[in-house]
Amino acid sequence: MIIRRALPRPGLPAPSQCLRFPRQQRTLATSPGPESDLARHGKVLPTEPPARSQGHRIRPVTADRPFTLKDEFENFQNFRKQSSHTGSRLSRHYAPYKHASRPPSPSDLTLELLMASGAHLGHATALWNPGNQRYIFGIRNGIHIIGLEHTLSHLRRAARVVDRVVEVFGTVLVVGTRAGQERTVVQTAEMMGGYHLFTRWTAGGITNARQILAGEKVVEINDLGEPNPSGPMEDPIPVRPDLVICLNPLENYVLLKECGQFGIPTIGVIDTDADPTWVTYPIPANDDSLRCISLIAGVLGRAGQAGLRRREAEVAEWKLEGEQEDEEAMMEEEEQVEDEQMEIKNWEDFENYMKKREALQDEQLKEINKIQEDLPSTPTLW
Amino acid sequence: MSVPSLFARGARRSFPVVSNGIAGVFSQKAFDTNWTKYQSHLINNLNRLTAGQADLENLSPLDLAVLTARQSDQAAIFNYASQAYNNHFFFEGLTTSQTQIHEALHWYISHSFASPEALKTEFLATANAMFGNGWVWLILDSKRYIRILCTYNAGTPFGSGHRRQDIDMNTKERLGTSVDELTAATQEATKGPMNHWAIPLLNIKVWEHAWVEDYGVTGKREYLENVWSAINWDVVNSRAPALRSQTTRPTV
Repeated sequence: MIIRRALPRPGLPAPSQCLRFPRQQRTLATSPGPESDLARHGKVLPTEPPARSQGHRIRPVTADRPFTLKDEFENFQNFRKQSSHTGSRLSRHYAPYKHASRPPSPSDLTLELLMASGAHLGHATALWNPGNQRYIFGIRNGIHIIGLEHTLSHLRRAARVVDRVVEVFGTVLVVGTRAGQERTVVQTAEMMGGYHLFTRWTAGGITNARQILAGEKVVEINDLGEPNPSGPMEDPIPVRPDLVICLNPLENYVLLKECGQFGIPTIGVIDTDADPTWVTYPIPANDDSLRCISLIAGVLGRAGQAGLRRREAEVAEWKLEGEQEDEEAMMEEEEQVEDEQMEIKNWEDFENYMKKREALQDEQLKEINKIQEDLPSTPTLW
Repeated sequence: MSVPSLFARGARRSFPVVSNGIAGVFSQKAFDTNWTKYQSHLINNLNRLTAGQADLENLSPLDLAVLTARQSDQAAIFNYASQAYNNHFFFEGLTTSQTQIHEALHWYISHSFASPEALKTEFLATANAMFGNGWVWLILDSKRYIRILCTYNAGTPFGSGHRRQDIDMNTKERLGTSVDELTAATQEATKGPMNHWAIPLLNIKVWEHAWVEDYGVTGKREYLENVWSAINWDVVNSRAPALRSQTTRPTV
């Protein structure tokens, strides 16, 4: 199932909020109260939420009770921290998955780290693409050496691009089709909330998307992350990424060409034998070393993660604003109701009161419809 | 102690616990033998055996021991790794200053034994009864019982019990408290699921070279008494899981 982000602007209220009826403050004396309803169904609801001071723990922890699972985990962690390195002191060494599981951020990059990861190792001089001349530092042992200042600056630029694209709700696709890149690709995509591909790109996935992706369902979700309650779209529009990160451009010419045709910016790791014009933001580095690729992808993933966090913070703010608006609207209506309830003394008054309420709500509905008519045609607000 | 530090890839060095010996237990010479020379010997051999093997050369001794416990062709690596861990674990638990048994430990002890004196008696008696080289451990299991475990030679309480070596090969018997439940318990002490775990709190070195220099070949009992007096209960307490009471539970 393909999910597509719809574009209702966060400032506008969702229809469900405007159609909400305010709570009635008074009921007729003869109507059954809430307590008797519950008693009839046999449910007893707590009148107060659990005390916050206990947090998630409900039972008291005392010495004679056995350890809970959480206790056991903490004990284990404590033991590992305390005693797992007993016996010798390990000197500094390279742990292969260090950069995969905890990649550095773009600001933590150094030339030494890039060199240690083998990012400077190009291909034999006879195999070079002259378009890469500006990135090459020199020749040694018959291979071109990529200048690490270029690697660093281009990597930082690409990281900035990823960061900002993710922040503005862009769809990012991370592609790496060589053997051994699967784990890196998946991890990077996960960090930035994007999508991954480690198998062959199906030609036409962008240019011929309607045919390639026929039969796939598309569900719209809004910026708050809520899916359209009416289900998948009837006439699905194919999804295209807003940014493509390619870890081996040499093997993905078709993908990059399609992106170029549709104006989708691409980031790619360009070795000395690759063509830098295939991508929008080349990163001159060694694409044959898994360590180097893992580092570069990790850095881009970190940058995307930062953008994602900022995006989530923004969404949380919108939700909060929406709730505050709800509360304010409710309070206003409650005030109105209170003012009017002072006058109710008999049945006629009550009928008049109800008519006034309905008239108010009709007016509100009309206003909403007016607003909706003024909007350009976008997917339905719900 | 100035030790030549090897910063070659994968090299390991151990660091000294006490630079002037453990007064009251080891003389300077005996400490030198038992710690400085012995630990260096173990680590150098470990470096030698794991040199060049990328998956082994950067592991800590505990991880190495657990990894190689089931491989009979890597028994030498296991022996040195396990012994390095056990030896350092022992010296970490000793001190020259007087320390008291903590309240939490008192609770654990009283849960399994009549009193700390009873624990001491049983613990040292078990160590004394061990015929041959080895280690005697105090282990805390998931039911909060303290159990006494003897491991002969370079046996370890970790690693699925494959190299626990807790059976006396002469009598085919086990000393110490019943350890049947530990078979599943200790295997997960280093990694894996956390249920039925067991954590070692303390061990005592019952290798002959520990007492033969200071106490003579017949001085085992005296050596054990001195070790008990030198135990660092602060360290033992830090290894034991903390008991929480309702009043001290941090609010979330």
